[in-house]
Amino acid sequence: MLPKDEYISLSSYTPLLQWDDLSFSIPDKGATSTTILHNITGTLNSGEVVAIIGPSGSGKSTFLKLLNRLLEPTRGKIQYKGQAIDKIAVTELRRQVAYISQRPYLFPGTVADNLAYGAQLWNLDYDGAEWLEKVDLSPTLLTQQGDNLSGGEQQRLALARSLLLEPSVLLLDEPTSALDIHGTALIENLISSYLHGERAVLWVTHDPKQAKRIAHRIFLMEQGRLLYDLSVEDFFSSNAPEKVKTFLTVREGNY
Amino acid sequence: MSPLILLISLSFVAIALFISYKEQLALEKDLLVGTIRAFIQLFVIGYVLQLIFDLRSLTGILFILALMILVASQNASQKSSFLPRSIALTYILGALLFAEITTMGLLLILQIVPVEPQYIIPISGMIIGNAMIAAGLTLSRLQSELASQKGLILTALALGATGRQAASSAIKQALRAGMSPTIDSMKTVGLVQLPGMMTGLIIAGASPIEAVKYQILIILVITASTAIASITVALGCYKPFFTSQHQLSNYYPRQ
Ligand SMILES: Nc1ncnc2c1ncn2[C@@H]1O[C@H](COP(=O)(O)OP(=O)(O)O)[C@@H](O)[C@H]1O
Ligand SMILES: [Mg+2]
Repeated sequence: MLPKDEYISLSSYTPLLQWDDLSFSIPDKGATSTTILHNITGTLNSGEVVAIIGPSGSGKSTFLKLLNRLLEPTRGKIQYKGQAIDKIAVTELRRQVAYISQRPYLFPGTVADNLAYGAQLWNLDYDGAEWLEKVDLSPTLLTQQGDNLSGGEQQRLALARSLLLEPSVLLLDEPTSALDIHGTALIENLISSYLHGERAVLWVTHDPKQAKRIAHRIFLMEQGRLLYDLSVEDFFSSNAPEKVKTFLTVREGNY
Repeated sequence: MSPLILLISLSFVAIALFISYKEQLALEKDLLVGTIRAFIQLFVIGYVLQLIFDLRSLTGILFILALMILVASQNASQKSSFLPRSIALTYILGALLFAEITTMGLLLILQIVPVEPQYIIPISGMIIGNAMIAAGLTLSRLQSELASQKGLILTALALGATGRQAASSAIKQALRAGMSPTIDSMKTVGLVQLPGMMTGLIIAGASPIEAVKYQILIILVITASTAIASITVALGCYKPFFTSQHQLSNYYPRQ
């Protein structure tokens, strides 16, 4: 479990990431464009985990990719540690604000090759066996070909590959969607031990129960808009906004 | 060879026509059009070359070379699917020009080939023709690799790689695709088929050993020119697929 209570009691967090009036459109075939995200504003503070929840296609993944500039917002501003992100070398930004995609993509080669990819880009020393143990993979896998791993193992390897760069912000895109209960608990614990007062996590999940377990705050997204930014207590309270309750009822129905 | 004999040789086409008619291949029209075009194109180029050889004019040589490079670039840029044709054309034009100037330049400077149109033009034709094929293969492979490696390339960018680093495996595959036909043909040359130029020299009365010397020279020159064309196209054409901020650009194939 996360040491949530330890952080939730702090009255003032310092913002690690701030975004203001973000919109994102993609050009269509003609002169028109489709807007995928509308005017999103908010912050991610050090020490906290924020869950992003919302129907499929509501723009959660697109939003995460804006925050480390894998995508460029059509309008709006983003700051990391108080700096406009276009003033930071983009590769450095991505090292510190790590995006981990929903589906793990492994580079051709061994497990060790995959762990080495980012580390080589950044000239880092690291202990591959130790990182495998942290994600509950056997160090004997180091010499195995990456594509011999199961889906869940690949997911955990991809996580280790990013974590060993020691990013301050984790942008996690449904990291447990392909995992069973055991694998899910493992990742939740791993992230909780990774988190400390100088770090923060944005965690996209489709599971309200998971949001309740891991997060201090919850964003509810719908059709490219950030509908609500609520503390976990408010999100699950009986006084929650109607739309939140409706969302939760619909979700409960799915389980 | 007398014109009469050339006309009589049309009976070879009659054989093909007869087979097509008998087997209902419906190739008659293509055969006729092809035969007529081959006659016209080759005679036109023959007379133009004769003219230039007689004039021994530098402008004439440069004009012919420019025309060859232009037509070849136009042809190779048809391999462009995701990249706008005009951008592909620019890079390929540069690549073919670079290949021709480097290889022909070396041949002339080292005085391997005399500064005479009857050497420069046919050898340039082989340099440019092979560079054209290599450029087309490189471009089409580059695009298909970028499309199929999209997830991996995004992962590499997310780990802090530059566009160049993220695309390096696609670039390598494209280079191999562009260069390997020449390398393969080098391995079997003379065993399966005598190259056209050697055949021509021998028929025109050169000794086989003399013909072989020229053929070896040509093979080596072509190897260099395909390598130059491939590397120029690959290292140029990957660029428009990324933005200056190491994001996938709008040309990048969607999934
Ligand atoms: N490159 C793109 N081209 C076209 N449509 C896109 C692109 N990226 C995202 N979209 C659309 O934007 C919407 C939000 O997508 P996404 O951010 O993946 O949502 P989520 O992660 O919440 O499921 C979807 O309707 C999706 O089809
Ligand atoms: Mg998504």
